[in-house]
Amino acid sequence: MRSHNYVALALLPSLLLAGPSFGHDRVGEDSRAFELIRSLFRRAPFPLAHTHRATFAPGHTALVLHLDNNSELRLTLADGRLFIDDDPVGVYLPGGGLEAAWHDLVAEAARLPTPAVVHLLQTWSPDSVPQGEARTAKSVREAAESVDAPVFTTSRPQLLDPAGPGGFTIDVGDLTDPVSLEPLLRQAARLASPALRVSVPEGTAYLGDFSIGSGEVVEGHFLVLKGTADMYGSLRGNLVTVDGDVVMHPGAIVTGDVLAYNGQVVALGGEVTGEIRTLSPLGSPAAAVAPDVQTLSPLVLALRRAAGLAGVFFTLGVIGFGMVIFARHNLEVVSDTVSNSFGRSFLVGLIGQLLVLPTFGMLVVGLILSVVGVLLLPFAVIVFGLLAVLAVLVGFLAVAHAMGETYTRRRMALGATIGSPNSYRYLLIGLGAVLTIWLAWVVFGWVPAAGQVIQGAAILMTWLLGTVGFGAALLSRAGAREQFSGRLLPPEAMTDEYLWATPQYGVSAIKRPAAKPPTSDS
Amino acid sequence: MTRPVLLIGIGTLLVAGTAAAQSMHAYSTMRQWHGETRLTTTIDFAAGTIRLAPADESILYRLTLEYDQERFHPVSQYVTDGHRVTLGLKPVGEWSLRVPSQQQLGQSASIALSPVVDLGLDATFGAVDAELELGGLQLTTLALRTGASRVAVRFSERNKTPCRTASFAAGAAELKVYGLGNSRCREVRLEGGVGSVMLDFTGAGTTDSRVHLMMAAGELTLRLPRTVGVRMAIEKSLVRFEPKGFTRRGNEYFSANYGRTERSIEVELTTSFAGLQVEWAD
Repeated sequence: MRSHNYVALALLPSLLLAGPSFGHDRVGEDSRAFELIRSLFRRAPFPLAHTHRATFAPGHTALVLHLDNNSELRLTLADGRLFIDDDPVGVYLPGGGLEAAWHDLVAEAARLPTPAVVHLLQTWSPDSVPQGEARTAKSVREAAESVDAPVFTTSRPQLLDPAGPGGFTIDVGDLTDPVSLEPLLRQAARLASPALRVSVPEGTAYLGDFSIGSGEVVEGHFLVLKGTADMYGSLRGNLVTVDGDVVMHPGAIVTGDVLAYNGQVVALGGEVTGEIRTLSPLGSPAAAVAPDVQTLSPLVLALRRAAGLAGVFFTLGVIGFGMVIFARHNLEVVSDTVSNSFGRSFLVGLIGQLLVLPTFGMLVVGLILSVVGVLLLPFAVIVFGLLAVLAVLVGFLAVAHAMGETYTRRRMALGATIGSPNSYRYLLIGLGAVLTIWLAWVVFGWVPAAGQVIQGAAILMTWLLGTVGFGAALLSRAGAREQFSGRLLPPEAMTDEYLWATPQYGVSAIKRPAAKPPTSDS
Repeated sequence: MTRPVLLIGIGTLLVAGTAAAQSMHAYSTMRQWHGETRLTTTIDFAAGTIRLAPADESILYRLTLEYDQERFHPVSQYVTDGHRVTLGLKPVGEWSLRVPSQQQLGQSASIALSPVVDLGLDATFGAVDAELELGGLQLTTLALRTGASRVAVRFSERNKTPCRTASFAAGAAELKVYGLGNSRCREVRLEGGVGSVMLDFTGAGTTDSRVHLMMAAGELTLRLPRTVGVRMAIEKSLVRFEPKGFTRRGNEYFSANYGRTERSIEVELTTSFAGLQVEWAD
């Protein structure tokens, strides 16, 4: 039972209790109420199987139904087991009755349209098979019952007028590379309607089901949109269907190539002297989860990017707070190195980036050349990678820390009252400043051209800050060396209160009155 | 490392949509048999799983593919004049050093070839899991090159026509060839790299075979039928080889029934580091 049926069950008592109020109302309202209940209990529509594929291989026979929710139902008999979507759900005796019946079914499925195949699966019950195999067949039926098949509809063929010069044109004269033709075919499927104008060089385009009758001989290429092409007669040219099948009946002849895009070629007989091709996109979970970014509306795109940005901000914040708790001294030293040796840090960071790969190569070669070192190679590779990532991460957070600290001090120097000027605040302010750069891209990134410029600028700025941080981390040996951090005082004197009261740099520091020499009075 | 972690994080999170959107497609191509008598088939398959088997007699060839359209392009090119067909998957753009992703390894191909035409088969595999059933075909030549692949070739049925050459080049591969006796190939060649190779010469064929084997390193196993006379000439270094059932004369080894059987196998083996094993099959 689907989840909304549970909702219906929960709602049922409420509706029954509300019965009296329905009772003396009009009949129409009663029927609407019952219709509501009925609709709640009606099963949710199952995914539609739009195409299917039969696969034969030694010891492996499969039937795959492609569903309209971008997924597929895969039924495979292999190695004595039935697999449904790669999960083993039943067994059979290789060479036994069930396997023979399954082979017959799959062979039949190769010739039949998809609705008929779904029906075949839903009613499949092989005769004279042991109990275990009967259970396996039941599993197949149950799996097939979770799928619906489109109702067979036939539509009258409709000739599509050619587009004017420079208009929408699909050349189906050469089908050797259907992949390159696919974008046009996809577009034609999207636009398919009686109003569509499409030119087919040396050919004709039709909308809806199409057929060439027995005894007919037709010249030229044919493009059939949203319809099945039933071939009984002769076609001297290529035949392409989009969102439809090609059915070759006995006696039919196509002297060119045949292509079914998003459909099948069903060979009930007939002859195709050229190539028979099919091409269709497959459902992919990744694609279903992540639709093309370009097709999203600007608002959805901005919201999605904002969510991503918030996630990155949160993650970096958590890591930064962890560093403040567990490695505050190192973070502050790297941060001070950024503040005091900005240019030097940038240069070192730049050179460091250039030397990372050669250094890694030398490390690997050195370890390989030394006999014992080979054993350490896997560990060295992992440690090197971790150290590099750590240097970048620490450096970047240190840059954020330095930015936040500088900003806070300037505000304090101007007389602002800051509640708790500590590393947590510095980090939050710094990260916020960095991510503001990206905020512009989040809001305006969808604008053509300007969006790319904003993104480029954000990337450049982030790279610049990252390079400085990386260089500062290298210069300070991840905060272990204070040579470039400008720390003239012992670390124990570098408390926030001391620094607040005793500016070390900037205007405030210059204006600081010189200490009076000790007098004899004191 | 040219960009900091933040950039990687943002890039990963924000454009994950486009990066993750794999584009798997199903593609099939086939040609009906219209009285052709020969077909030269070239198969080029870069990554994934491939199965090859004889087709129905009404079909000249058939290829069924599931592939990642962002990275690969299906190939099916038939030249009527020369009766040549090229089938497979080629990488989109320039080929570069990269490890196939799980998605690419999830690609699959199924190829069926006509059993009623003289068939020349030339196959090249990259990172592939391949199962080739060549029994029952009319194979005249076979050339198989594999990269980092796992390949099993079977001649479960007798080849319908004598075969001139079967040559195998295996890189860092696991290659197993079953039933070479059914292949009716007069000459078998192997260039082995660092992988594991097994050649099984059992089968119902009566054709004498000359076998040229070159193994650099890795492991070579020869599975020989007891009913066939075997002579092995071995040039080896750093390899210890003392097979059971052979009599040694210099660098040559002879089976006890050599010269007295309807079918014989002449093996020339050159190796440096390869492990070498001989198994007898009844």
